[in-house]
Amino acid sequence: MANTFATSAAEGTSSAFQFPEIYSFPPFFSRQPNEATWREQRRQWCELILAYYKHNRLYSMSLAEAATEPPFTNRQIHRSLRVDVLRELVDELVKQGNAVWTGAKNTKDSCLIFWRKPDVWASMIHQWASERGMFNTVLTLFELTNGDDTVGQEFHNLDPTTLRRALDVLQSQGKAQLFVGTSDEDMGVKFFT
Amino acid sequence: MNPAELGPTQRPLLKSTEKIICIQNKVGLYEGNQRDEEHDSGTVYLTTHRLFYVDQQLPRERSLVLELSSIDRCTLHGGFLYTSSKIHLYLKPQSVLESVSAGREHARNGSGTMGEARGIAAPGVSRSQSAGPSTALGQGQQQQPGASPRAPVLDWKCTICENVNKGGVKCTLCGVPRQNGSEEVLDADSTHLNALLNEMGNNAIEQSPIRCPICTFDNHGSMKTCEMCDTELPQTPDDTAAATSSDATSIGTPQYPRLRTAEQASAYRDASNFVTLIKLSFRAGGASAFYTSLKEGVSNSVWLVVGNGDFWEPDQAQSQLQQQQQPVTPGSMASGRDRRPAAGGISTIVSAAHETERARENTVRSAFLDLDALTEKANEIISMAEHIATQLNSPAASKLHRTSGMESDEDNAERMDAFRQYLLDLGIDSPVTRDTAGAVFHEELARELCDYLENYVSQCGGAVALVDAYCLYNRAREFSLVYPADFVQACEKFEALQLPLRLREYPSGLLVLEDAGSASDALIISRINNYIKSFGPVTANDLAAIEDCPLNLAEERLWLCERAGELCRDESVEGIRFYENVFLSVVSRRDGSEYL
Repeated sequence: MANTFATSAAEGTSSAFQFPEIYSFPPFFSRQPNEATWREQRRQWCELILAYYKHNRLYSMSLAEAATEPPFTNRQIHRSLRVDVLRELVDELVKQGNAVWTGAKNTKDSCLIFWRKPDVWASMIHQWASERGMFNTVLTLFELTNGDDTVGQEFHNLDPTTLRRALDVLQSQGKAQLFVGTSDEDMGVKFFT
Repeated sequence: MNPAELGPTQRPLLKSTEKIICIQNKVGLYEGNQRDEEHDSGTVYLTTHRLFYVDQQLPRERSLVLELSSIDRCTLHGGFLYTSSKIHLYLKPQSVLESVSAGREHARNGSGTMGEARGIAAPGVSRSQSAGPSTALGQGQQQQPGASPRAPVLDWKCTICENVNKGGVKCTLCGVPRQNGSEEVLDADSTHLNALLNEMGNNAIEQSPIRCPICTFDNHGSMKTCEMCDTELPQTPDDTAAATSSDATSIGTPQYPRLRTAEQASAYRDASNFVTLIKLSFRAGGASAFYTSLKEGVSNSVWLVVGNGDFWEPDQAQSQLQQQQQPVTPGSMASGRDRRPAAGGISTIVSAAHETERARENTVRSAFLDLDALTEKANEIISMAEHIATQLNSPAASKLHRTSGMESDEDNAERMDAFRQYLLDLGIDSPVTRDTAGAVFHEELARELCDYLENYVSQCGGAVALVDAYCLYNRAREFSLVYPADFVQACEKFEALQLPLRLREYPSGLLVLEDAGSASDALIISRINNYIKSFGPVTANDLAAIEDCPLNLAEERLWLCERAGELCRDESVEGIRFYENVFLSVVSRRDGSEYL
């Protein structure tokens, strides 16, 4: 039996997200006290979060808001995940390197979800630069994510913070150089081979 | 002493009116002065009628029972140095006992069938049915001489006080254990000794002295070597003949199969070769208290009071009835009794039933007047309850109710079940108390608890909350209630005593009494898994209803399954509902497919 649910929050995307079977299983939304069970539950949640964020091209999460929305709420079975459990899940994602806490220190109220890790983005951007012959040319970050040249690329409309992370990776590898402009928005980047 | 009958929890089986007075552990038995190695450590139960010895190691095989009626007198001997305090039981000679038992047999028959069988109960018959005197220790050994072969008994001299002991491991005089260096005085084996003793008894006068061929000393006829020079003496022909003949007689009619010395035989066995002295050695103290109770028990002679408490034996009931009825309507009652043999027929049965009913009513009324009266009448009330319970159980009663109305039949049965339950809940006949059990109080309490609660626990699906069990048990005890702490301690001993119940503490602190056989984790888990497969996800409430158990116990069982990874929970506003653990079963399925 394929228990898949279209989500209302996925509006605006090309096709509805296919939820896994476990999504309609009520205990999925309760934190399991049994350690072995919880490990498995957590693994399935992490998979679901990354898949959902990737499908909807979402980058940042505000925990209190997200908890009331899919995928953390299933309106069909009237269940939703508690915020503290969600925080535990994000902690796990951070440990895996798939997320990072943002906002004020130690509040753990919001985070970035890296459904693709920064080094993967970095190599993707570097690949594009080499294909377009953009080496040794200064580009603004806005151009990179919102410019006409990158339309159709995976990183088009990429979240600025995630982009910074990716470019930081490239800079540490010596494949790019970041330039500080008048403001944070006005940063530029130059790619090298 | 005879082998004793033990109940499933290795407590002695008591007769209906028998009560335990005193219990003492770590007691050893002596037969005469001789320590009985096979009955060296056990628990002794003193009841109103009998004395039980329950062996610690082999309770089934080695336990013994002795009727108090066969005890002539008893004395207390305090401990000294290494010797423990002892109680000496002097048994009545067998002839006395037979007459006593015959008398008892008569009395019993008199109460049972109005004396018709009075002449039939010959003492011999009662003996062979083992209902009579139970002192045939020596006799039992005679019947099976080869059954328990004993090592030859060697005499030895104590290194401390130089007392010559007859076998055993301790000196009978000073109680110092036998040391390896102890000199063995005689090394003759028992058969040889027998021959020797018989010779001494029978042929002593006829035996002529044997003169030593070397030193010419006149030795006693029984000597094998010269007393003076140790030269081997020539065997006279009549001497060997005497020896063989006495051997033959001793095999044909083994007169002293367990005999050690002539003195012992004369001192502690009577003419017909029964043991007349049994000693109880109290290695863990408690001798004086036990002695007081024993003396009281022997002097009370409860066994002579025929039918005490057998309230519902017809004859007894009538006499009671007469006593109670007389002050009310003496004239009518007496005339009723006089008339009865002549009347006959249904009217007699009806009037008899009426009388019985009235007698019961009286008992109940007077019993509940105040607490003292209840204590006094407790026995009667209990026997009445038992009587009614058996009546309800009888097929005649159920038939009666079936004919009384078809539609209310089921309802009736239910009510009757409940009623029967109430009646059975009444009464533990002789509750274990601190006074009677002393040092073994908790062990004994555990055994009694097991006896009482085992059925109840299995009825309740193999587990009962400790609090419920405590209430139930104390209700059955009526008075002389048990402290909760004692109760818990007794329950903790179940496992050590290998009793069929277990006390289990769940992580939340809930204490539960469980059937050792049917309440293992695996069984609980598989049972709950089955429920979930057939009923869908369950809450603790559902489970309590399905299993008919307390809510907190149902909760504990679900948590147990959850800890085992068999269930997972769904917390919602409706409460916690438990589902089959899909998370882990998916994992195991996936792992399984990976290995395929």
